[in-house]
Amino acid sequence: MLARWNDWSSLPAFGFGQPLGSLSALRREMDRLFGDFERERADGDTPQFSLTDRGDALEFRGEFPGVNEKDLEVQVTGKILSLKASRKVEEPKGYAAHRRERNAFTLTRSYQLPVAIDGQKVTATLKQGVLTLVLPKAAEAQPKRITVNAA
Amino acid sequence: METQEQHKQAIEKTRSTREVGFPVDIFENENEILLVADLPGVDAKQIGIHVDLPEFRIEAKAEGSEPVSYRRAFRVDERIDPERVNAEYKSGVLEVHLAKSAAFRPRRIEVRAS
Repeated sequence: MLARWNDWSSLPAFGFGQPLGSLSALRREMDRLFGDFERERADGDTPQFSLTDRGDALEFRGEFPGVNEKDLEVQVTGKILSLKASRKVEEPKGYAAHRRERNAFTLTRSYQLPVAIDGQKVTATLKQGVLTLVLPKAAEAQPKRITVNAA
Repeated sequence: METQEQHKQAIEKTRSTREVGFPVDIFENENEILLVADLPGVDAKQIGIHVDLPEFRIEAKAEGSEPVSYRRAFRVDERIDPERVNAEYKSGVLEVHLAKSAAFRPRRIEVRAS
């Protein structure tokens, strides 16, 4: 009984009887097709990650909706960041399922970071399903400002 | 010659907010429709749930260095009571309960013995 608002199947069939209706159906279908490019994340089961260089630290951000702290494991060794995460997606009892787009996952990944990290100072926070890691660069990888002397 | 179509393509958004969808699970039992959505990184206050039958729409904004705007709309039928829609947001997951109007819920009719 719930369908995506612009679902193709809910549109009137193409026909000569209602030229305007058909055009509008076509336009809506085009909108749907193009809309799906922007909706690349709708059906994706891969969590979204980003890594940003903040100068003295790298910031890693990963989306883990519905993942508990205890199901997240973060490890940093030198330039390698390793992540383990999992979640279950349970069907509530006594309900019929109309749509199942959310996926359960078990993920193990390692990333090669561009610089060495001071593993002792790494902080990890999980808030609203988003994991944020602040990865301070190791002393030798810290940016250095070189003073330019006028000759 | 610059056609109108080319001109349209050249228009860029002034904000770099990305508009994306999000995965949902939809369930139904005799009393309600239950929608579960993955909406990571959103402040609960930034979630808008609009019931404008037959349309049902969820919009949300995730702030941050790369702002994201979430939006999806669904068609629901008239059995939903727009006054009885409840939502809860926890750990990046939104749960919306759309209760069916009393008139459409199954009723047990008692047979009286005379």
